[in-house]
Amino acid sequence: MKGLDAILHYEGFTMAALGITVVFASLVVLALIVSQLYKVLFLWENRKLYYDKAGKLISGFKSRQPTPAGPESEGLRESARQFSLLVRIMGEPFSLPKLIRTAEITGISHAHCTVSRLIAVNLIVPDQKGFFRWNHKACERLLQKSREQCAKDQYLMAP
Amino acid sequence: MKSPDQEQIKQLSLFRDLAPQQWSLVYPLLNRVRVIEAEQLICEGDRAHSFYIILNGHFMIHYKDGSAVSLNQKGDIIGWSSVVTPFQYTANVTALTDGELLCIGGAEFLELIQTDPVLGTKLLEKINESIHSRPHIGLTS
Amino acid sequence: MDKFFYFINQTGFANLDLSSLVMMVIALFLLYLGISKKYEPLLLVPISFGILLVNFPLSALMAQPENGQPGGLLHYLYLGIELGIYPPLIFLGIGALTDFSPLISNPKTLLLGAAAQVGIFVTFLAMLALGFTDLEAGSIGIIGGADGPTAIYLSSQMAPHLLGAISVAAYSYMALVPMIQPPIMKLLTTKQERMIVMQELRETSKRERILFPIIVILVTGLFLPTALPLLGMLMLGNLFRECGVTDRLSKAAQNELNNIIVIFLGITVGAKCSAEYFLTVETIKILVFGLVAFIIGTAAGVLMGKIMCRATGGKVNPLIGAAGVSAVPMSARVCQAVGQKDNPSNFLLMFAMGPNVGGVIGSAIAAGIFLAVL
Repeated sequence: MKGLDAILHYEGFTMAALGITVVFASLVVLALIVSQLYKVLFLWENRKLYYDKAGKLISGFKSRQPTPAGPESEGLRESARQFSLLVRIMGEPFSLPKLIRTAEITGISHAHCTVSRLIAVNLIVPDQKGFFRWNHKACERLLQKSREQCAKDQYLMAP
Repeated sequence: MKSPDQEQIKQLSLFRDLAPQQWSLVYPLLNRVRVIEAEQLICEGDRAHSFYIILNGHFMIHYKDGSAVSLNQKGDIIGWSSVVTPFQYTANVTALTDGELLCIGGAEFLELIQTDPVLGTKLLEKINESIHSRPHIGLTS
Repeated sequence: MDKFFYFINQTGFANLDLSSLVMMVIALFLLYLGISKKYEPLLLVPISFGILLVNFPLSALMAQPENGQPGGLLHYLYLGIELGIYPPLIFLGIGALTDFSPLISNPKTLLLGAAAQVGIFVTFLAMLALGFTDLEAGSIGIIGGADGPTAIYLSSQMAPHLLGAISVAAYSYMALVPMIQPPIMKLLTTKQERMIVMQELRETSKRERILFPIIVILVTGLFLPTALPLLGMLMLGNLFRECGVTDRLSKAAQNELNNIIVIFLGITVGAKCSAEYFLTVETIKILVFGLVAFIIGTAAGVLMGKIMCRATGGKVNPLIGAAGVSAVPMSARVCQAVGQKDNPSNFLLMFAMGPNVGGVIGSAIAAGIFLAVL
């Protein structure tokens, strides 16, 4: 048997259509999942941040819940605490690359990114001579806010 | 480089004052480069083959003596040693965050300056302005 | 004197016939291609030697055991193919060697890998029209996937009598990728399209690279369980590589295991190329239409690349579609070479690796479909 008869006998067109459809369908599904994978991982790796944000959003709707603390996240406060300790050990003015290296050695993750944030919020300020200083006043204000907020939370949460 | 945001790049301080014809000579030399946090873009002492213009991200120019400058403004220039002798980078540059830069080959840029001195002068003046707005800590890269 | 004549009659010289001689010449020619021209030498050398060994007159290497006598060496080694063991183990090694990052960071290139499998199904129809059975047509069509282990696996399950011709065709065309693909790529693309510089790929995290093989096997295994032997081993090998805690296993899979299986696979595939199976009109049809399948696959991949180029506003260079045939990494290198001819500063290799490895997954899925339905 040859030609079109053979193809029809073996349901060739159906088989070819099925084959192409299944190959495309499975690879499209795979592509869709993989394309979202890094976003899901990003959410997972920063889940604490999102829990905090979600918590603050929810607290905004409840009358006895504490008011949101402000633009600084808990992550930034924690980083400020850690880096202020490092700066205390290194002394001032300090070398920025050395600070980053020391932070990495002590196990602080994403040291480069954290330093960038601290510069952005003026906790680390240049001395215009190539070295940097810690802005103790700004740090104190930030940590004070955190202590006040903690106290307020405890007061409001108390039965 | 085919980029739909050609107009945005034209607004950078380095290119803002270029005439359309001058811009059409410069634009084909531009390439986008993406970097990730902690990536070292430039090593001190290496041959200076390209210079970079920040589009986004935060970068640290640092020297052997521990001094450093941080740059995070769109349009800041890094690696201009590629257009002056001895064509050797004089500092290290590390990305503090993920970022994106425009990259221009030093050799192509020099050729452009040599074939169009008016354009070259405009660009070098802008580069000079940018460099001198930073703290002077040794030679900047 | 009788003993002397008996001995003479038992020599190869006395039993040499034309077909054996022709096959031995073919074997020596393939050996020349492998050693001197370096066409896929790791496979072509053992394959051609297997062809040579099995075509000696009175060669008992592939003899079945009978009358209490054991079978030939290659008969036992061939069990690895017959039972579908060697090709999945080769895939284990391939998975351990392959970096899926270009695919993970640009997953739409999986569609290019899918498009390139169209050649398989078009050739399937053509083979049916030429009088082959559906099992034979599927085994021949899979050559279009340009994936040697997949072609061997499928034909060993569905059409073992065609295994020799299919394997020789598949590996020969894989080796000839630099000659076959460029004219098709140039014919179907414009100079402007070939000059497109693609945006740099994002960096992939370790977690992504670990999760990728797990996700692939979950998705494809649920879609198509018959593809599990091939894809399962491919993803296991990749997991060995990426998880970071099985370095020894990864190295063994890439090196010792892979090399041993390649030797056994090559020599036993060659041993299926005895004159009675190989010197037939069917073989010529297989060689011709295997090439057609490959050409159609390349063209379909490039055309899909053009569609993606339009859809993304010129961000995808259509040339990388040709890498959707799974001749890893040869077709990716061909994309690089063709792209650089028109734009010397264009580096397409990493972008082409995405569809290249996507094609490996695609051809394994295509094989799974044939196994499931036929």
